[in-house]
Order: sequence, then structure tokens, then C-alpha cells
Amino acid sequence: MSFWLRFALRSVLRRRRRTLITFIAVGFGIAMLIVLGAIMVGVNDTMVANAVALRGGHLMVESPPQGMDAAIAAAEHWQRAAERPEVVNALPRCSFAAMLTGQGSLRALQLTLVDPSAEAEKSPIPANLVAGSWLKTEPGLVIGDAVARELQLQVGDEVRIATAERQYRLPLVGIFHTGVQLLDAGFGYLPFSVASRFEQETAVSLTSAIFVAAGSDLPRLRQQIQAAGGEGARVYLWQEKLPEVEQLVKLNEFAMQVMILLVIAILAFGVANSLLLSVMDRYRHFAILKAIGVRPRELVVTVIGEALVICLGAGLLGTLLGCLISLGWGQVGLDIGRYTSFNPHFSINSLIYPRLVPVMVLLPQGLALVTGVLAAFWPALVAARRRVSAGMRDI
Amino acid sequence: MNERFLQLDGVSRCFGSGHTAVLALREINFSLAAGDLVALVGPSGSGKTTLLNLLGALDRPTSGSIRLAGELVSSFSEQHAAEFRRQQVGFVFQDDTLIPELTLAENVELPLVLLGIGHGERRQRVAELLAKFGLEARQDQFPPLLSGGEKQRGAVARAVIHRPQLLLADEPTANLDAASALAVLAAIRQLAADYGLTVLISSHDPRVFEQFPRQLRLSDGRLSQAGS
Repeated sequence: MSFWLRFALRSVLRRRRRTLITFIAVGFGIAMLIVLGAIMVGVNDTMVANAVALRGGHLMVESPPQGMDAAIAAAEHWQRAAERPEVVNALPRCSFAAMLTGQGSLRALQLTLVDPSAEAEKSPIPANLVAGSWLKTEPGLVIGDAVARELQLQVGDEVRIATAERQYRLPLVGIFHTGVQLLDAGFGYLPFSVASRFEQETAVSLTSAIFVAAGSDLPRLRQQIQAAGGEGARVYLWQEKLPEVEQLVKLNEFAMQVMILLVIAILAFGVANSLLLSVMDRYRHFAILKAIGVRPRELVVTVIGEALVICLGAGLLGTLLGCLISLGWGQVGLDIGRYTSFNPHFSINSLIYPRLVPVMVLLPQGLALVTGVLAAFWPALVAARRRVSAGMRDI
Repeated sequence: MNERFLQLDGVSRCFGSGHTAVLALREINFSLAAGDLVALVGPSGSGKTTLLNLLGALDRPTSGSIRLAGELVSSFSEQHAAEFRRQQVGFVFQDDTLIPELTLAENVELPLVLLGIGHGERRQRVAELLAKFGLEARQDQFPPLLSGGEKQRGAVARAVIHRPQLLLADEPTANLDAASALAVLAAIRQLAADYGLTVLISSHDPRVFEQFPRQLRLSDGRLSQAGS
């Protein structure tokens, strides 16, 4: 250990009470920023997971309208194109517009043909039924509770479906409630097995959903699947199809960055205050050092070294504490349903799992170090600029 | 001996300006030869500390010039003055002069660290000097655990470890009992003889200045008497 580092370390340790208070302030601040950052990431994770689960996956394959058979063949083709290690589920879906007729009233709906068993594994719709049961291979229809209420339909009723070509009849087997108005009032689900009942000319779009493992490189995966699938459809990132969710994620991140800056700025004033008091206590000793021949810039380095010792030590301990709390909390999760019960982005799952990401772990520590050093400049300059003869009079 | 090793010509130092100006030193002229032991005598407020600060390049005269070994000390930049102090000057102050964060050995070692001398040589020179001062058993103690006499002997050791040409001591025995004061003075005289140091020691204590063959008497900022 160099002489001056040892000197800085001893200077910090000698003023134990003041150092301890500064140490706790910096360490606790960094720990809490890391925990808050992990919670923010967990909130974003849950919000994105809810949104992509309800609205079409991490990657969405969409095509222009085509005939019924062509759309179903395309769905199978893209399901094969999506077979990759990172892909957890590739759900074939084909959608078309229709009118539903209930007790004397009509409602426009987007109906989606799905594989019932595959959907049951991943889609939140089967888990959010409020009446009836999820689709099986037998003909049947599942709709949202808002539509059911409006059309006064109940499970077991026969529902008339009108496309541009003709009318069909299917039994209503289930009613779901997600809390997302767009889904509850605008979507219905049918099994692929009923496709043959519809006219070939029905205009059907591919709307397949692809779910991937956490941490996957989505843009790269999109390129690979697009290349494997060809030009018949386009693969979208969830951010392109759900811009409002991406905006919320970015808003959360921005709010967190502002909070980090505010906390770090407050910590910097604390470090500056502590060091300034420490420097003022030692005017005489700094004067003696200058009399011995220590240059002003060496005094600056010494005081900044003290700030580094405090910020690095407290930062490492704070980082360790913050990581431990976040990891522990990440295991048990945190239910924020009390605060999100009317929020559509948390309607199907309000349990968040705080998660550490490198930038949110390193940023508070790095900023604390940088601002700590900057904050030390003022006390350091005070020490360096004071005249020796003036310093020798201070005891 | 070279009588012009240290030469002061018309040195004055004024603090403040206008109505509040205080003339701490007025037209000081004297010279010392290398190896001289001189006591700077005078009552409190007579300008002893101001004069020592000027000689050690801790301060600059308002007018006049100070030359040490041919160099014009009074015109040094702050950077040059720091270099000058770390190589040519040793300081001993009144009290509380050891850095409390460093052990006695580290305090004594400090000037050698500043000169970039290697760790092995530093340790050896510190051990030799502390042994000469009878402080070898106390070398790992921090200053608060040392007696007043031990602290001042340590301060003297720190002031001479780098073999400066000039040793400036500002009331080094003021807060010491008689025995400790005599031990510190004996150490200074011994070192001056061993290393050929030029020593200027300020004091208003007859026990001190009587031991020095030459005395400079300051009164109200004027060098009123130069005797031996």
C-alpha cells in the first residue's frame, strides 16, 4: 500500500464517528438505490410479461389478410420457422373480423383461431375465465365478459357469428376477464378445428405469438426467424406492437435515473461536508505538511484519496447489501396488487420479482465514486490553498 | 566559513493594508555562515515566527531579499518554495507537530517519502536516527501515545532526516519541562555538529538561548541587537 493511500485510510479511520456516519449514509444510499433499481426492473418485467402474454408474445408474426387455408398453412409454417433454442412457445394464431349477435344487439369482434392446448400452456386467457371452460377441440367460442354483458350472453348460449361471407353458429363455452378493456370488449377465441366451417374466402390474417426465454437477444432472434420464414409475413418486436408499454418502461427507467442522480447529489453534499469539516480540523497538520515540502497538489490528492476510501468502501458494502436484499426479495417476490388493481398492465399478474441488472448495480456505485471525488475537490482546494502561516495558527 | 550562506537585506513584512496594516518586520539585515548555531531571541509578538517563516520560504517578504546558498528564496514560486523546503530546510514547530495519522517512524520517514527515496533506505535511515534520539522503542507508536519530549525529539528527527542545510526551530521547547527541553536542545546541537547544519532557533527562554553561541535579538519587528 502506498504511503499516501495508507495516510488517507488512516485519516478516514481516525475520525471514526464522522466517517461512520458518512459511510452509513453513502452505503445505505447506494444499497437502497440498487434495491429500488431491482424493484423497477421487476415492475417492468411483470408489466412487459403481462402485456406480451395478453397481446401477442415477445415477437409477433403478422401477415396481410388471405384465405382461410392459406392463413392456417402460414401459421404452421411460421411455427416451424420459430423453432429455436431461445423460443419457449410459438403459438399459431389466425384472426379475422366478425360480428357477434346476442339478445337483439350486435358487436364487432376480432376472432382468433388458436390451438387450445398450446394456448393453455402460455396464454393468460384460459387462466382468467370467469364462467365456463377453456376451448377444447370441439367447436366452441370464448369471449370477454364485456362483450358477454353487452350482448347478454351466457355460457351454453348459441352465438351467431357473421363474417363478410355468411353467418355461423357456435356455442359459447367460456367467458374471460383480463381487466384489459381492449381484450374483454373486443376479442374472441375459437379452436383451429372450426376453421373448416368457415368460407375459404374469409379474410384471415396471421397473428402468431412467439414467447422467448428471459435475456434473449430479441432483435437478432427476430432477424433469424424472419429469414427462416421468408417474406410472406413480418415479424415484429413487442416494442413495435405495444409502444405504450415500451414508453412506460422507459418512463420508469427515466424516473429511476432522476432518483439516482438526486440521491447521489445529496450524498455528494454529505461527503463534501464531512471532508470539509475534517479538513478544517486539520489546518494545522496540513500547514505542517506544507512546511515539510508537501506540494499543494499532493494535499489535493490526499483529501481526494480520503473521499475515494469512503466512497469505494461504503459503495462496495452498500452494493453488497443492496444485491443481497434484491436477490432475497427476488426469490419471494412482492405483490403490488394493492396499488395496481385498476391498472390493465398488472391485471393478470401483480406479483413482481426484483431483479438485478448490471447497469443498475454499477451505476449507483460508479456515480457515487465520481461525485464523491468531485465533492472532495472543494475541501481539497481549501486545504491546499490555505497559507502555511495561517494554518499554523489553527489548533 | 562562508559568512554569506544565509543573507537578509532590508527584509520587511507587512500584514494587511491601510489603517489596519501591521509591520511585523522592519528592514532586517543579517547574514549567517554555514554551520552557525543562532538563537533568535525576543518577546512574544516581536516577529520571530514571521522571520522564520520568511527564511523557510513559507511566506514572502513585503520588501527586501533573502538568499540561501546563493538562491533568492524571497522570489520563489509556491512550487519552487515547496521543492526548496523539502530539500534544504528542516522545520521544528512549538508543539503538536507530528501528524497524528502516522506513527513516529512514519512521521520521521515523511521527508524521505517526499524526496522519492526507496523504502529500504528510508527504513534504515529512520531506524538509525530514532536510535540516536533514544526513540527506537517508540517508533510504532502514534503521536497521542508519546510524551511531549518524545514528540519534540521526533519532530527534530523528522526535520533533519533528509539532511537539510538549514534547521529552523520555532520555540521548540516552549511547552516542555526542563529535562525534556534540555534533551531536545542537546539533540539539536548534536545534529548540528554531526551534519554541519545551520540552525536558527527562536525562543524567549534564557535556558535555550544561553546555550547558543550567537544570538539575534528582535524587538517590535526590528533586529535590535546581534550579540554572541
